[in-house]
Amino acid sequence: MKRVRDKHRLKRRVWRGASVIFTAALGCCFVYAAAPGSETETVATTHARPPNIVFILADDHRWDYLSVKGHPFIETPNVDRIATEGILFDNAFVTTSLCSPSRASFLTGQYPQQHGVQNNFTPWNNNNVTFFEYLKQQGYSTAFIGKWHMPGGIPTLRGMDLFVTFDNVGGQGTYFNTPYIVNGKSLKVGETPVPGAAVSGYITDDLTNFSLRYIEDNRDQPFVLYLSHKAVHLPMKPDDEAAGRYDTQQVALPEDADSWLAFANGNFKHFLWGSLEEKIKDYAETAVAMDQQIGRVMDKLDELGLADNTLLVYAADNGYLWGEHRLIDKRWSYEESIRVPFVVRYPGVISEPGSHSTEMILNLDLAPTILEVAGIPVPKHMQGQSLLPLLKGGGGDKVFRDAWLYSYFEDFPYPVPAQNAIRTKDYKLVDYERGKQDELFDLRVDPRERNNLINDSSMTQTRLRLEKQLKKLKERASYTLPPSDTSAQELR
Amino acid sequence: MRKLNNLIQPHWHMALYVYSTAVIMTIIYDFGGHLGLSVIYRNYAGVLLFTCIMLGAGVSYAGARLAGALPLRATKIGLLLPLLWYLKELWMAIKIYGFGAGIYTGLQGFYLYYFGLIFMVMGVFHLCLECYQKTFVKRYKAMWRCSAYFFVPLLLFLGIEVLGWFFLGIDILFFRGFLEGYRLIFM
Repeated sequence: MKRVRDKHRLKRRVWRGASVIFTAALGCCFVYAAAPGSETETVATTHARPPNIVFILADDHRWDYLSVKGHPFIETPNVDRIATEGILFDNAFVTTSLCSPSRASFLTGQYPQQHGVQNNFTPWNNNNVTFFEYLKQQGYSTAFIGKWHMPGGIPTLRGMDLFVTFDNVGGQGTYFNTPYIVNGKSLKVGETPVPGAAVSGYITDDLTNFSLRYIEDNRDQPFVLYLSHKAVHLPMKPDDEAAGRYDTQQVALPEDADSWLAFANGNFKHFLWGSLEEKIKDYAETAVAMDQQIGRVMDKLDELGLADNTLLVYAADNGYLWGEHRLIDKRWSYEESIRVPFVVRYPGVISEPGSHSTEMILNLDLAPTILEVAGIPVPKHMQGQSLLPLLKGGGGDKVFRDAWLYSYFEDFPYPVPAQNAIRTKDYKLVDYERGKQDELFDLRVDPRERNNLINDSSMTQTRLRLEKQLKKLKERASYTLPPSDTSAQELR
Repeated sequence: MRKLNNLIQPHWHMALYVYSTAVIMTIIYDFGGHLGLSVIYRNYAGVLLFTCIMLGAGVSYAGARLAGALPLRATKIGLLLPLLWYLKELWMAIKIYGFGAGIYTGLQGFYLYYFGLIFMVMGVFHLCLECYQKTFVKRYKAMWRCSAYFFVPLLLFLGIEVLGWFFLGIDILFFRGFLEGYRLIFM
């Protein structure tokens, strides 16, 4: 009997001992997991919460000025890294190739016909709903850091926790010594809008410093960061480190360009007074300086263990013609002007890291994508389509978009006619309001758009079909959409 | 050629040489690419063309003066090429923006300063000519006083800009002020 009792006691002791060891081990695991910077934390915290969103927007950065796109000399290892770890969209476009309208489209997911910012005269309407509002309602911390530059001054954006921008030089800012504005409060030159973040004086570095600080401060909650660079817009000034990097580089100009094009045909209005080769080098150096700062953002995400749960997107507000068609500008519906770099990294979701997508995507698609990634239903007033199926590699044989509308609204006094265009995979039809003959290009055989087929009788059927399609697209872009605040209300 | 020279007053000869050079260079510069001309030649043509546009007025002015024209007439002759270039720019703008806004484009700082510079260039040529003739032509009565007029337009435009920055904090002629004017008149 005693032996049986002893046996039971022994059993209880063993169980008690085992449970103590188990509890202690569990406790150790818990303490270890909670220790800052530990590997376990990344898994424990990042996957248990909605993804962070970091959107980096460049100004005037054309799609092929990236080493990953095979540019002959520019070095952009950090944007390349986003592409190799994510997906590169080879056919990304903007619906209006001008800073203000394009930026408003990124924010609202709408065509300029809807959000109202059509050129540098039509102001931002603060009834427009940005994706920030939806994310804020979902519990995100939100930050817009950088260039706002839309007519109508700096608004009080709804749904913003941190809004750092500038309004000097008509909202363009300057590469050096820009005075910042934080949540509506104007600061002096050299004053930091984000406590703890240094102001170096060079705008790309400054905006990155503010962003890094913001990321650090918000590492423990889901956040959305919209980092909007001034670079590589005019006057294209690199920092000291990148300046002179391509001084000895030979630059091959496009066939129809020459060295003095910046003085000709109204191009002088862009103040690019110098040889085209030199300006292209400045542009490339400014892009390199920006790329280095993009690398700092990526490093910070890695350092904090946030990269695995962060959607990182890099894009530009429009492209840039560097002498093609004897033009130095954006605005036009030519490929160099409307194409933008668009790379996305989203670990664990992108099915094939390092892949390319040839689907035609638009700046309007950013907002719906961000919302879907955050688990928020895409409101009906957004006219773009979420890219999430493309990121996941799904969609099968279904074409993501077969045609889309490009619109350029008169932007006095630049010598560019107002125009609407339809871009399909194979063709582009450009309908100029006045001042230039309409154009039709067969992009399959003429990707540089040198041979206008508008008067080619063999193309009549194609032209008529495209005209009909263009009319339909224009109507659709201007439809009266469901009021945005109703959709926003639904979410509240 | 001699007949043509006789038909045209000697005051105009240099201006027409400058004008002809500009036309030929425009053809080479703008259309040379389509004709398969290498970029080096187009670049040379560009340099000559832009030199004509910027310095042609001064050269024409000097030519007219050396052919015996008085400063006022030489100034009018010197303005031939700048005015033709300006009309071409206006025509481009009118095609895109319509007549009213197209004409208004011609009031932008780029064009005003261009004419300011053109007058200044003629002024510099005028001063050089006066020095030359004073030195080498016996009993030459130098005309120094009118030199000042050549610099008035540029000083006027610079003055407007300075006042704009000082009192309003904006540039008047290039963008902010100019575009405000556009808004008021055309929008």
